[in-house]
Amino acid sequence: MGVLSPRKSGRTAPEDEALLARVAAGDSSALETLYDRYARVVYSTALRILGTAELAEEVVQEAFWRVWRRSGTFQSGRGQVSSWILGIAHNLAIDELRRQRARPIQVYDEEDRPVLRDMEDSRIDVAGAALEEEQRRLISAALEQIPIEQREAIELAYFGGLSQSEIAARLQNPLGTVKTRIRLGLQKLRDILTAQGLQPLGLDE
Amino acid sequence: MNEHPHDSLPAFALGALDADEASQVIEHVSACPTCRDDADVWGAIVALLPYSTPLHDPPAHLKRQLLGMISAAAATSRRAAHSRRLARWLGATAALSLAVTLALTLVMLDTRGQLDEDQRIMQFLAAPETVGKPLAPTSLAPGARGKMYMRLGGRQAMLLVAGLPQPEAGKTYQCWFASPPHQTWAVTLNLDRDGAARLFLDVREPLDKSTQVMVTLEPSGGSSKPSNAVVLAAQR
Repeated sequence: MGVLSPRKSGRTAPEDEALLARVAAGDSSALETLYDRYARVVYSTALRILGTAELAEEVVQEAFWRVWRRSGTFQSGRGQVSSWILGIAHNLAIDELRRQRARPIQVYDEEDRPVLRDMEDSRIDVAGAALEEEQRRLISAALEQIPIEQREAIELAYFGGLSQSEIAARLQNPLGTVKTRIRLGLQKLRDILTAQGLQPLGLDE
Repeated sequence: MNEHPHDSLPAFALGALDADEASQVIEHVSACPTCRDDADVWGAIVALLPYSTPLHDPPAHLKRQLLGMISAAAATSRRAAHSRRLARWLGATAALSLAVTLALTLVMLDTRGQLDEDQRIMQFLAAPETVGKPLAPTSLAPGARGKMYMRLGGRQAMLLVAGLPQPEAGKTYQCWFASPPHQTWAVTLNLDRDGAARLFLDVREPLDKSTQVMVTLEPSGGSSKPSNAVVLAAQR
């Protein structure tokens, strides 16, 4: 059952917000902590979306640079710091993906797996690593519980950067079907995750 | 009357709406607190999707480079502030030559999330003291159009461009702002797939009627000086 109780899911939200407030005040060591906590998932997402280590690395750099520059724009109570950071990263990756697609020559092959350089950061943020593992387990389990076609549509949108019409064209399905799959799939994910105790906005009751 | 786009909010959070539908949702959500809260919840669900992908560590040098960039930027802004103080003491026109800085604080509009930014932008556009400066296309991009909105004497501007052809491989668009006798700034434009871009900018020097704006085609990565390939320019 849920390892993630409501209190636990809210635990890191005030910590992250305190870190971000320090970033906004010009504290680069606070940015470094946020980097240690989230660069891995940012990098991995960018890698999945863009397919090459080089492009994924650029996304990581630019994303955390923006976190540094825009820390003052984060609105407390409107969601978690992690969602905000991952949103920035996702947008960057999808923008780059679309730029790549607009070029006449394809610069990456979707079938290629990138060569990952072996220089790994040592992970000293134990609490962060544990939370990351919890999130990973939660979302992976939830995705397995929704119908495969709903999952496929969601992943094509999120990791493939495709719009609903583009998904419909690619899968040769009616647009209405794709819209319904996305809506129902996300609704089901929301239901499963909140049943596991997830507080989407990180607000402790 | 604007119906609440409840059914579109999940796809909106996912970034799966087409551009025009996304714009409509943004417009609605910026004025509707209920839908904004709903959109936030969907955004939080979507933000878990990255954890479903295989996780790999980024290389160690990335962190070093990032922290290096941050301390370099801090040093640059201290130097720039020092130069400005010095220039005022010496007399502005002689001391400050045109210098290009790419360290604008800018906010790139996107169609997912950042909804309070959108509301701020809507308010900026609607404010009576905001003026718009149209940009006219050149023969290099006859279908392009653009407008720069700014508050006279203020430090904020918003640039909208549309109808630009996608730059060929190895090229990018750059937008230039010149406020003589002070500085020239440049920012790279990231076009969406419809050839449009929107930027909301905070700049260091106050903008005024004489601020010149133009968009040029440059090599990827940007240039420190504008090329001759002008695609859009402010009308005089």
